[in-house]
Amino acid sequence: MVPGGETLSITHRRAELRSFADRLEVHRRIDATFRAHGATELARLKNVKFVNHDLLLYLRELRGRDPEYRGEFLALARSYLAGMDATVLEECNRLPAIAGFMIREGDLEAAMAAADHAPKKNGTPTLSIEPIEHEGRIYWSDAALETELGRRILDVTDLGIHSAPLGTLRLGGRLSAMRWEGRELVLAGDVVNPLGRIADMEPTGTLEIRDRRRKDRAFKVPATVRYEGGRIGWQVRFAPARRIRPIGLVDQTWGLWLRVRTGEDTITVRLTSTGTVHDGVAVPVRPRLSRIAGDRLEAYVAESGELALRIVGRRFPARVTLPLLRRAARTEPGRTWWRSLLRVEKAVLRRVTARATKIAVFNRILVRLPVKKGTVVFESHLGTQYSDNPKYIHRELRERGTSHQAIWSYDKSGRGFPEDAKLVRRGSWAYFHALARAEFWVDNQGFPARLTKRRQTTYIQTWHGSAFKRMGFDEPTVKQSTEKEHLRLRQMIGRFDHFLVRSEHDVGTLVRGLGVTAEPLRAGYPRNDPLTGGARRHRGHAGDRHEPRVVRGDTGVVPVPAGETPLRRRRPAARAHRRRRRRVGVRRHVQRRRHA
Amino acid sequence: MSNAGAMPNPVHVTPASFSPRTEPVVVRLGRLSFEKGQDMLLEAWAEVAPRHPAWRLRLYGTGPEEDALRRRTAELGLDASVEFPGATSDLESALTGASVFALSSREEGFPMSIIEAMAYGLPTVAFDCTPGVRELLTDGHDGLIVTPGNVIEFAAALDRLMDDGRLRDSLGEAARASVRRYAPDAIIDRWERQFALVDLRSSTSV
Repeated sequence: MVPGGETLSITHRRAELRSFADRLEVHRRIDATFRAHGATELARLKNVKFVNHDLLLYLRELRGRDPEYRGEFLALARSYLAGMDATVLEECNRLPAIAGFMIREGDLEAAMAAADHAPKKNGTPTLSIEPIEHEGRIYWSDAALETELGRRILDVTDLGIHSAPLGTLRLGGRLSAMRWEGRELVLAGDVVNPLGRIADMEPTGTLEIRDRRRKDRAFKVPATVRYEGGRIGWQVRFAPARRIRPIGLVDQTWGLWLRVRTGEDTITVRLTSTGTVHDGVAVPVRPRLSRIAGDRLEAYVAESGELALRIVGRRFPARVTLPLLRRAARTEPGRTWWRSLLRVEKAVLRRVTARATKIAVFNRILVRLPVKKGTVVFESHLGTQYSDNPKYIHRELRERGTSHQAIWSYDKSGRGFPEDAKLVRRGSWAYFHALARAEFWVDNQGFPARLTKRRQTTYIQTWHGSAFKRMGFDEPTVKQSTEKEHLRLRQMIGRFDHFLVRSEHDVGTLVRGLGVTAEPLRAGYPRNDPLTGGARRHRGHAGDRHEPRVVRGDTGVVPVPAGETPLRRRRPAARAHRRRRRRVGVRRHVQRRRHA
Repeated sequence: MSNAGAMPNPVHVTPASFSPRTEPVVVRLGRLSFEKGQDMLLEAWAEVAPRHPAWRLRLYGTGPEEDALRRRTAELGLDASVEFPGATSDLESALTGASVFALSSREEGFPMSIIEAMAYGLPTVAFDCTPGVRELLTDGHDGLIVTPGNVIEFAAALDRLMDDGRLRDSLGEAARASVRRYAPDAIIDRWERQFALVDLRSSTSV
């Protein structure tokens, strides 16, 4: 066998039906041999292997084949499986067994759906069928509920389709129309709605045209998603030449994916096309490397079953240049050159999006932009929460009706952050841009080290709790660390313009330990305001529900569990250890605020 | 790696006299630089010095951090009990004139200064900053080993030794005995054995 050679062996030419037919013939002869020797147990094991391996191998690619191929495949597979003892299926892996069973039943769509749910290793299962519920159990199909064997094989209750969070399911969707309306391309289809779980009447969606070689690169088009009885219908309408701008050569195939938002969940939908609606529609495209790298996109179903677009050359010059370029890329020097090009491209991309690059750009360029008066960048616990002192400062500003523009930094998800603020993801370009132009920085832990704070920006460090342990430079791990690490910490803390404290205890521990050079701001913690005088004004805020109200004269005492120490990343073991300690309540922070 | 091993350096001093461990002095020899951690030693000293007014901390050596360390000493109010005698070549009188050796380094390899202190019969307090420390010392037997960077623990260890002359004696004597592992004769014997082994193997393989 010559991998990638001009003529592949028949076992590697699965696009030809003969490959499958020959394979079946081999299996039949093996069966005959086993029978002749009375090796029934071996024959059984071989049949299990056939269902688990051979059958699935072809089934997974079946969505990309034409209807004729599929019809003949079904006939071949069905006749072979019909001659097999059905109880063999009970020894097969679950989804291949379902696939085998459904082929025997003549239901190719349900068999392909089983293959969709059993992708090659590292793949994500796609649920492209609507299972049914029967007497409290979930079945792949209602094809054979009357037989004992059918119920055993098709029972998929423990896949958890009925209980898994919607956002964790990957659903299967279909393309049922692809046509031109004037200069706009219209795509439409539907998405399975397993067990009717998508019950939101107004789902929204986005069509993502994803570079199949680069995970995060995609062009996005808003989609209309309609709830139509049990099924979900979708449609997009857009001018492709403007929306889809591939580079050319480096990104020749693009997968089509749908993202459906329903209530709190966002569901990823893999689109496929079982029919022929996508055939023959050529979408004009203008690669950034010009039209020598291609001029049309044509739709096809990839081996993975996903609906995709690939760049082709239909007219001059691409009709001539694209095949030439591709042929050149296949020669040995071409291949080497190509690979190094891809490597360089990857390296450039990595470099451009690297944190170090962003910080360098921040320090040299972004800080020269004019400061936007009245902007405040808030951050709490490195962007993980809308909480603590920054939250109560934000609220206070809102209640006083000042005209400050609040920008909140979030990490991972923006959920739960205030709607009247602009949100920027921590570490994104927008984040660094906002920080560079802000008049105020307000946080409780630390904005990224190595960012230089410009003079025109005021940094209010509100901190997040008392020190009952040694802090900052008093911590053994910090003390032990290198001179460079000491300098980094000193630089980070040297940026504070104001450092919020509640008592002289904070001054003696935090200010001393962290080596704060800013004058301590003896104003107390804003988060405690609702507990004392501010309680009247804040009463009724949902956020205060769980906070204890211990008000004794003019002094509030609130026990709060100690927070993470932000100064150094801890080892997981140390973190677990601290968590344990916190659970048993060994370490507690006591906050004390004298109210003026 | 069963065929890999390490050959330590031998003790390079031949003490003519040993520390009587009666002088109220804690000693540190070494370049005055960040990685040698004299700043941490000063902080530890600030915790113990008030309880032991008769005791002195003697920091031998010169280096880039000297000014900063002198300033820090003043800040901590330790001028009266900390001495900076500068560099010395007279190891013997430096070590015999003290009762406790303090290794406050942030990083080390195989600290020869511990070997020297052991040879002169001094108990050592050391940060566990390198595997070499545990190779040389057994915690509680011939020295006291402290979590790296934990100044409070370091101070407590110094405190124990400064309080307890008998503990100093037992650790110091044990150190003198255990450092004999690194006596030149012992190390030379090990080299000899090693060469003999190599020689044996190469002659049989020819």
